[in-house]
Amino acid sequence: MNYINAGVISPDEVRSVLREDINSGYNTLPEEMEGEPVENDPFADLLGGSETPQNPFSSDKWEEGDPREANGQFGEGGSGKVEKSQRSDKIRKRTRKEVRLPKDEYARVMSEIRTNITSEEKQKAVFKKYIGNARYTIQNLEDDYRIIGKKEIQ
Amino acid sequence: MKFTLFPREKIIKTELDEKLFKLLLDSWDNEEFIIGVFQDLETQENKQKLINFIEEENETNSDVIILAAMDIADGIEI
Repeated sequence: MNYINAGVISPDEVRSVLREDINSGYNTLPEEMEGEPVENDPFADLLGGSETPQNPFSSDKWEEGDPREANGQFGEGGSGKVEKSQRSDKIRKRTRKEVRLPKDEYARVMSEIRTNITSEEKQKAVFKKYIGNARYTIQNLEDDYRIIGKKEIQ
Repeated sequence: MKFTLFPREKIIKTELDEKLFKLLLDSWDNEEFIIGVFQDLETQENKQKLINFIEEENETNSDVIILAAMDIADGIEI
């Protein structure tokens, strides 16, 4: 086999010798191998065989059932909805600075929230309250409240 | 929704305002929420941005809408 690999002799020559040697056990082989490839490419198997000499990783062909659209991109479906929710998630998860209020104002606002919060507002993660001369945006942390916005009413 | 904090005509002046009002009302029928969002946005341009966001995302969560309005008012791209 080393001689074949080195190109010293061809497989056909070896085949011929084996056919003619009655002690080889291969003397009944036909003269030519059926379905023998024209060229013996050692990488043919890796590239999908000699009949389809194509890299299996280079297929750009669009086939029936392929989720991609004609432009090669994935179309509407689960991924589109994920993108939409991601936009809202991004807004929801953005870090919000807490508004620092003077001590007396903070105490008054917190007292007002705790006293007048409605059952609907308790279910919300964020709500607004008009207290005194300002409107506050309040983050509901279940056991606590965090003021993330304040605007004076004009 | 009853307007008790401000007169209706002071908040809803244009067709765009009317459209935003209906979208907000669908999300949460709460006066402080709706008037608060209107007053945060201030300009017609900002109101249009929030309308676009609500319609494109089919967003009905008032938490997200309040935060989105704050971001728009602060000039943050949403």
